[in-house]
Amino acid sequence: MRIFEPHIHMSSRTTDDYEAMAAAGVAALVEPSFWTGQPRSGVGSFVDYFNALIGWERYRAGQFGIAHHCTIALNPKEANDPSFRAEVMEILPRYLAKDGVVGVGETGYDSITPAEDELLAQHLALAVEFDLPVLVHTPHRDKLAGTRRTLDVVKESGIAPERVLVDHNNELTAQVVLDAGVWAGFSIYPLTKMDERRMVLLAQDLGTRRIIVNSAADWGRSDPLKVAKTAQALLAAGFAQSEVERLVWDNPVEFYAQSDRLELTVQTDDSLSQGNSIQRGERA
Amino acid sequence: MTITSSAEIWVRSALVQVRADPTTIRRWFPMAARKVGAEHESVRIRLLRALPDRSEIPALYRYGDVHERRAIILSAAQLGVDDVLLELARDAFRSNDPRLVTASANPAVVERLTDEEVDQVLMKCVFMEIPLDRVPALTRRATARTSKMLAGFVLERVCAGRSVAPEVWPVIDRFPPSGELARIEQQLTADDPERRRAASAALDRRGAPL
Ligand SMILES: [Zn+2]
Repeated sequence: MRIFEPHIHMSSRTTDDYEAMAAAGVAALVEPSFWTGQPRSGVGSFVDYFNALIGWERYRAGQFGIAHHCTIALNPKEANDPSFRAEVMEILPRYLAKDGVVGVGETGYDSITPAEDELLAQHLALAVEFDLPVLVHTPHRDKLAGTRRTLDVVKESGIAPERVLVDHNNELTAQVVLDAGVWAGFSIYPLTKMDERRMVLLAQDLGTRRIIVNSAADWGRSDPLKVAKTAQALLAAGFAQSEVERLVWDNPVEFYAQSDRLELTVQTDDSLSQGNSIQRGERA
Repeated sequence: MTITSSAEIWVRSALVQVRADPTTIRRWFPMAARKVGAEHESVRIRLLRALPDRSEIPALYRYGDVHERRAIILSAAQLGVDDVLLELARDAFRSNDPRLVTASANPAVVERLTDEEVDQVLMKCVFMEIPLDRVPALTRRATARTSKMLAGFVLERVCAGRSVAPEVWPVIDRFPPSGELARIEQQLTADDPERRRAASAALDRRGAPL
């Protein structure tokens, strides 16, 4: 089955993972910018990370036939560090103008601080300015309250709700999020967040409209094949093939296509491996 | 190839704005590809030429994706190569993306490189399996040292039982390094059959039309 992985941190993964993902049907993905486990100490680390997301990581994915896209933001955890916050916000517009950048994100709440409040509002305003959808991370602690607050800030920003994806939902937040008119994301993890079995139950309950599943695989213990495994679990539970495809391909494509910057065919000519000819740069 | 009229309207408006306020190039430069399509490289070079000076260029490169960076390096032919552009080209050939390495091998840049740098870029192309006919500005600059390095590379590959691209030979044979060539030929009678096979495969292509 063709899979669009809408949330995965490939810069933490090996080429074995790319190979296994391609074999499992992943044809395209979105890599949101986030915290990398080790706190950054300056704006330069963000620049190198953003450059990897629009450069080296896209090149690596292309070698496995996977179309790589990313979202760009100052993540909520590091939004709390005053030593580089302003500098990072200043370079974001350069990246939000780029090809392959299909959204603003991950923004949202981590510890629900005033700094996070302010930065979430700024990111939503940037999304409106650059005509991009937004990926919103919800906090792991005090999730329901954090999610409600997120939805309030989204509403206040004036952005169209269908351009917002609120991620990392669970049984308590899912309906609240869907009722707000935004998309609901579910991160399927080996040990935490959400698993395949519970996702099947949720899909039976909520249907597949405005629902997106992802592996959110990153630097911690996680599994880049979780979307494929969830698709298998849904089929085994009796979901129709077309309904599962809607969940793992049509929905994330529909959401990120709102950027007008999705490029689902990977560059296939030999310029990727052999470089572009510079013959025409020759002087006559 | 020409660009469509709506794309040309976008380009003209971007050029006007860049002339009025050079910092606006920070926004137009990255989005050129989706505004004008296949001709993004030449359009980006037009935007660069509209700048009153080069002060915006290093940051455009620093924050640029592969296509933006290529356009900056390839602007060398029209903008001329100053020390800043030369440093950016050096950054490009240190990368591991063949598209950037070949861009840095453009003639306007290569003529400013030392012989040692030319050798390094050329060897890098060989290692990355970039066909050498894509980088004629480099192969034209080959010296006796280049031929010797390439022959050393062939020897290393033959001893590992691996293959080599045939287009290394015309460069090697410009200044045939007798020592390395003799050692490659010795491998024809090596104990390891894989080496013998690799040596004969490599030498068979010597002097053959490409
Ligand atoms: Zn994430």
